Amino acid sequence: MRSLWAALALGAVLVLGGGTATGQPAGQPGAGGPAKAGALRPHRAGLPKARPAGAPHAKGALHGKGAAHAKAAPGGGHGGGHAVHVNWYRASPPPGESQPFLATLFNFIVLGLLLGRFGYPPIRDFVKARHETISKDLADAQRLRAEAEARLKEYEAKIANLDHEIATLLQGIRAEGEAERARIIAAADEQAQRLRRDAESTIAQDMKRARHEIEQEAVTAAIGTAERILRERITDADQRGFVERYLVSLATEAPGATPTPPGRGAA
Amino acid sequence: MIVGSIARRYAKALLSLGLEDQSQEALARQLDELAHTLGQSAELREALGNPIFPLSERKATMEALCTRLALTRIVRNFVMLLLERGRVLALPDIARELGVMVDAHAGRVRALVTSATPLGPDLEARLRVALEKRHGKKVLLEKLVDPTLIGGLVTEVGDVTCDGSIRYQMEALKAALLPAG
Repeated sequence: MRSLWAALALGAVLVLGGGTATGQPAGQPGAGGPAKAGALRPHRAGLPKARPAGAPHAKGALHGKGAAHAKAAPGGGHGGGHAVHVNWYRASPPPGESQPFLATLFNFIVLGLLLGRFGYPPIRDFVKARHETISKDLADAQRLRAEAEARLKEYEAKIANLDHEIATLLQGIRAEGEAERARIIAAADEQAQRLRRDAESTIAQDMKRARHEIEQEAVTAAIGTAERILRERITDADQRGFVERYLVSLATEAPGATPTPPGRGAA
Repeated sequence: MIVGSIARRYAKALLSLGLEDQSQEALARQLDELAHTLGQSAELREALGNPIFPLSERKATMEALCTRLALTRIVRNFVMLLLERGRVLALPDIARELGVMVDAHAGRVRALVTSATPLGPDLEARLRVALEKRHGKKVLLEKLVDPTLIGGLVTEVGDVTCDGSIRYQMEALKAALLPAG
């Protein structure tokens, strides 16, 4: 708000200063502000007829009433020392005189107050929001840039150590491979030995069982043959001899004991 | 074992009845004859031992059987008691136990002699004498012929078995020749 008032005051000073300018050369272009402002209309009637060649046509230049004196000035310039007449308050100025300066100033102040009352807050808020957004964007951008730089440094460091890491990894992989190879070979050896022991045990068991079966078959066959021969060759006399020996064993052995079978001892 | 125990109790009761009038020998013989008859016919055992048939019909059947075998009143009453108590199928065991008790009471022992060939009269007499001398009791021989013995003989006196057969010797020889396992 202060800056607005300062701007208004500066505008007023410039207007007043422009209106009271003295000794300003008539040929100076643009001096006193834009002509379209309408604050002071140029006095065309007072334009010098003998304008020096090449001098710019100061269409919007402020000219006071003294411009009429340019007719008498040699070379087309203003003469120094002439005061500019300002219409301060006359509502109906005579032809060739500007509008009242106080009314114009009043309009300007009213316009400034209206702009300050209704135009300034939205503009202020907008500018403030815009300022904050830009500040935030700038902060984010700085943060992102810092992060990117940090990441860049990190990657650069990694890239710098990449060869060493690759070498270390390869060395580790080779060591693990060697250890795994040794372990697999040891396990295979152990399994082979176990299989060999199992096979040897199985073979021994099979051989033992086969030997037992062969012996059993041989004994069974021998006993069967012996029984068959005995059946064929035992006579009644032999049967009587068996009973006789059984009777002898009954008589000689203690009660409760199994008598000596026939065919043993005396047989 | 339970059947044996039950059979011994019934046999002891019947022996006590027989000892009263010294008819234990006849009781044992009649009961043995009835048990033998019962053992010969599976249909008879089914008719007398199956509780699905009415007890009156089973008693009538047993009564008819006793009449045909001319059994004494004591034996009839005894087998009727067995019918009522559902123990009629234990009759062979009871008869065997009663025979053992009667023999023991008379100072006798039964010997089952199994030989490969029939024994001659002289060998049988000598065997009886040898067994009586060994056991100190009068021996009643029951003879069987089993050719699978090949030779020799086997005697069974009570719980004692004396195997003097060639078959036993061959089995012992086979067991000795074969390694363990």
